[in-house]
Amino acid sequence: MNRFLIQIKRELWEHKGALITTPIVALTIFVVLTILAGVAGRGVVQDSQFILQHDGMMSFYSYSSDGQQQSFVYHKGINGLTTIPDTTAQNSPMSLLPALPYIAFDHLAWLIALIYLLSCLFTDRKDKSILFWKSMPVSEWQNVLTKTFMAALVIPAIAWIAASAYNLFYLLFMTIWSLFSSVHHPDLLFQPQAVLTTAWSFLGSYLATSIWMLPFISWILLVSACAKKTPFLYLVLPLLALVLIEYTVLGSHHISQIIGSYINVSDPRAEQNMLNMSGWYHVWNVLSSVQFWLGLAATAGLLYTTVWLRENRFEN
Amino acid sequence: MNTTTNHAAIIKAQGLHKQYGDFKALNDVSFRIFPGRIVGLIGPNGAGKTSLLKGILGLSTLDGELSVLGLKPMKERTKLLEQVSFIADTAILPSWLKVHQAIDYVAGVHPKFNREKAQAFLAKTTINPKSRIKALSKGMVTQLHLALVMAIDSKLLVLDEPTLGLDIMYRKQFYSSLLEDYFDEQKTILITTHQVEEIENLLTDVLFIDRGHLVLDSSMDDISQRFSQLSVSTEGRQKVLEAGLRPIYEEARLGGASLLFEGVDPETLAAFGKIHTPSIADLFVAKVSTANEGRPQENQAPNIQWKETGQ
Repeated sequence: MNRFLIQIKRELWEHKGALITTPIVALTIFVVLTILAGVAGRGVVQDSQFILQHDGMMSFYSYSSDGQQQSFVYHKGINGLTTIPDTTAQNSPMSLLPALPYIAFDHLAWLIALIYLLSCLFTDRKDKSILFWKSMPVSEWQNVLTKTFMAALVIPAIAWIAASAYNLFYLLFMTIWSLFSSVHHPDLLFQPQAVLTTAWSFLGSYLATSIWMLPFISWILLVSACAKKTPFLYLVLPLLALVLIEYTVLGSHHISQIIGSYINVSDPRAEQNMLNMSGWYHVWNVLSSVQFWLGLAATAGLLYTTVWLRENRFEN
Repeated sequence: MNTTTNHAAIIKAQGLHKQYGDFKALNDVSFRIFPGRIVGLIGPNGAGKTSLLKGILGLSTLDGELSVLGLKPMKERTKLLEQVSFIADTAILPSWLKVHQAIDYVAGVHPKFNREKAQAFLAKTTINPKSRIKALSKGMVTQLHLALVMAIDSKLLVLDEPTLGLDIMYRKQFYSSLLEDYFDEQKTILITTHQVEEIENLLTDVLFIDRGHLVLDSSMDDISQRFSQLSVSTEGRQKVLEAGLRPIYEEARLGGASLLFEGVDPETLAAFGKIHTPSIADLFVAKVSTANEGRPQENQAPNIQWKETGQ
């Protein structure tokens, strides 16, 4: 266990900029923008009111300084979005609000994961440090599985924490904001259960994405272990070649469709709208798909090849 | 090594071969290394040293029979590296790592690492534990690497050109630390270096390798008994040859020659001039020259570093 933890620490030390600093900077930017928007918005909104609807949903009406009515809809969670009778709303429903940070950080997480994975088995060969790591009694299986674990679970976990932290900040900030505006019902404007429900739901959604992305993660690891230089080209060109060959020879698009199902990182099962149901449903949805299990078999093969390359072929 | 000891050999190599395309990096290499020895693996670039070390460390496959501490290096590398340490060269510690992180990492993954010992060694240096490796001089990086390696209670330490690129001060410090703070009768050191003169006095045994062939496997004690170097004048050289004595190698010197003999009684040679035990460098040149005379010209050896060919 200690050995596994120190391996995780090593990854965090080495990729601190991507794994820690980047989410913190993104979170800081979101917080600053929110504060600026709040300060600017306070001058615009002159009056507002809540109307409790019959199904428990809430409408929030505000009036801008020029007397025009703006309306938003807010509700308790994300599960009932499609039932909201949003007849008066002209703008986006506010029910998306607690979900937005998770969607944004999810995309950021997979961008970070892509950069991390491409470099993690490449830079140690490039900077010659591979022989130092190889002088330690750590097997390549331990190494490769640690990096898989980082991409599939640690990076999304950091993103989830950052998104949750933003929502907590937003809850607090808007509570304070409402005290300085004409809105005097902070408990109505910010419902903690909505934040919690969203957090719980996206925990499932993130997990579903992680297990869905395992073949893609292992493909990038293989590329990282294989590339002599410019791993990104090694990542893209073979896939592009496969797509072109299939299209030229067979006239079909199956490979591009499979690749597309992994690139659409926020939604492992494209036919489902993630906001319509709890993210935990996606876990079940992924586990019950044939493509996931085929992908898992491909993951095993790709990881085995990656380990073989690390054990039998290296350069410095 | 041919040295007989009461211990079992920690490295047993029998008929080792390694081929890269048409080039034979190792050709039927056999030897044994026993505990408590400091063995110099001597050879020019491309001789097969690195191929051999990579095989011993489980970083590359070798044909033939190879056992290190009773383990198959390639198949049991992780287990092997709990008992074997190595420094491949001076610049392989990752530049982003901080000194204290390096200690934490090795302490976390190596069951035989002694953190206090490493810290005590570093305390003697000017290295700041909070520094990143990239902020250290090359000599400091070597000191850090040595501190990490010496704090591991390993049975075998493999050093491949450990002082390459270091100035004379660091080189001296490196070897004196190795002897004073690390080496004991339970440990074995296998070392390669181009600066043979610097380690000559440390070595208990030597393995000479050239073009993939092992040309000498001997203890230093045995060398002083088997080999003699005779310094003679030009006339003296003629007398030696007339007496039927055949040197394995001779070199012209100012006003005379230096003749190297194998298996000739030193008392016999003393009658012709001044005799002494040959240096490792002289002996190496002699043995390699002799071996090459008996071998057909082979392909030019590529300089195989710590990477596979064909990449």
